[in-house]
Amino acid sequence: MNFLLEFHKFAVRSSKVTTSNRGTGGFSADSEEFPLDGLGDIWPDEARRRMRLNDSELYEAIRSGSELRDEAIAQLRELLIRGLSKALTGRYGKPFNAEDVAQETLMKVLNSIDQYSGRSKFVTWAMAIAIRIGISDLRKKYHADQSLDSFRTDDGAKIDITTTVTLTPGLEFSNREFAKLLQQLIDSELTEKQRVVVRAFLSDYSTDGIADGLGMTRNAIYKLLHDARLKLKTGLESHGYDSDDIASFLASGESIK
Amino acid sequence: MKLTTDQTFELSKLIQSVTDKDSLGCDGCSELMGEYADAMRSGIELGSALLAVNAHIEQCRCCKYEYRMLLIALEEVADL
Repeated sequence: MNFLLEFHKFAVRSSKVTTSNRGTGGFSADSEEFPLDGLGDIWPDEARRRMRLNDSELYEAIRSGSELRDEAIAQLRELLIRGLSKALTGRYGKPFNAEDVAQETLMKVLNSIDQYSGRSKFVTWAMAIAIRIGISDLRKKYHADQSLDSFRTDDGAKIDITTTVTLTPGLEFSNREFAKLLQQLIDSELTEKQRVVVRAFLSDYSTDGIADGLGMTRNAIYKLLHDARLKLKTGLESHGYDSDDIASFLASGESIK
Repeated sequence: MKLTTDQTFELSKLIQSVTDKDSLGCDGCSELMGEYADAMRSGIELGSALLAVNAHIEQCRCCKYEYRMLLIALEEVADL
């Protein structure tokens, strides 16, 4: 850490040097000043890399407000932007601004740094927050273009599977029976709210998208969906259908696609 | 709402994959996802808390997606 501090101080002093010869490693006194974040232009990559704080140093510098705090925040921001860009650019077919998400993440990290428990790496903790914010933003944009039909309840939140499945050529009789039983279970076992959640989920809504649509929490939506799935599975099992039978039904679907 | 064939099979997959072993939920998963990602990336054995994350991720499409994206992001900055 002492080395880093000294190196940082040296970097700040050196950033006052002027150069017209960026990228060659040479100093010159006859041109413009350059900022600290331009060090990579004149210093070898190895020197720049050595100046980087490791994971625990990043955390300590940000938490304690040491002289390295600004550098630590800048470094974390750079990491977040790089990770976010790689992971989320082009997802959901929507534009994604990694810099905005990184900025929002930094605010959250700085405000909640006391909640970092140390059970994961600090950068992992921050990146998980960033990914969550980024995906949430993308999903909001994606859902804004989607139909709200699945949230309707004026049709009793009905889910009709038999029409589609029984008319599909190629299905064996047993699979038609399976679909018929599944329909009965959906009608008799699921609550209206569970059917709404299932419909929305099958219409490509995420759990947080459904939560926004219904004014509920993501956890509550997940529980409604999970319980609905369990009810249907238990119902099928009570009629003698096990996971292999469901797999067989799914396999028949593969053959007609 | 009439389901398409794809939606019907998606529903069947949801039924097939569900278990009653998920005690965590999305909020709990979210809290432990970083620790889980580090453990998976370093190949260390999962304790009971992280096994619960594993069970949840196997059943939750949204958390699974977030986890996959987190791994991509972490991989991208691994050398820095």
